[in-house]
Amino acid sequence: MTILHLIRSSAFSNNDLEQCIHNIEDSDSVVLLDDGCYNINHPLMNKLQEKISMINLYILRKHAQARGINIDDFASKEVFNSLTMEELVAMTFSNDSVVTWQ
Amino acid sequence: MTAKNKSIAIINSTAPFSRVNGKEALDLALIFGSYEQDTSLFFQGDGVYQLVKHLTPERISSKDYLKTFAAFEFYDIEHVYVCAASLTQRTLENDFHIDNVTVLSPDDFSKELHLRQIILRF
Repeated sequence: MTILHLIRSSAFSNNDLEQCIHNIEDSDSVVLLDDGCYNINHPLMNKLQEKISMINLYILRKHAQARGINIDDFASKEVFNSLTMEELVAMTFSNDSVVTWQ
Repeated sequence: MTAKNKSIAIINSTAPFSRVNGKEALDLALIFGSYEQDTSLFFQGDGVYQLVKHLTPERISSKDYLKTFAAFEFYDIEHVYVCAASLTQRTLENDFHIDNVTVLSPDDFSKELHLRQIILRF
């Protein structure tokens, strides 16, 4: 069973992301949205990438842009797929369950 | 598709008294239990503080909702899982105020969680 993990808060202020990482299997997907977008520069991202393939890492484009996070620079483009809200909704149907870590 | 045959996981990740998350999770678990839903409880992070012994919530005028944990088996809530790493981090023993608790390694905890169709986190 695949889980869609939604990360909505910054790992700089709580450990929700770390708990999420403990509960990830390799076919799961992870989406950064709201303040979760700030995690793109958090050291835990390396740990996340060890657990999950790049194809399954996403960041909500508008939420990142609103926070001044440049998701089109080379480094982050390699790692994260950017996502629209419509695509996110579609993903809630393509996974077996959804967990919001907040 | 009805929720009737779906398995439900409730993750507790909050310490008991400062916030109402634990109480809300318990209420929900008992409601699901009353309706014979297949419900399992998962304790991770600060949530493991809900299971430690010798709690005295009356000292801070809190209602002792944790006493109700003893009623899980009457509600057919048979699976209570605890993350071993969360216990170790907090230097807690495998010694809880309820019986029939299963302590799992982080990997097994995650695998067990993935078997559930609906996952709710508090």
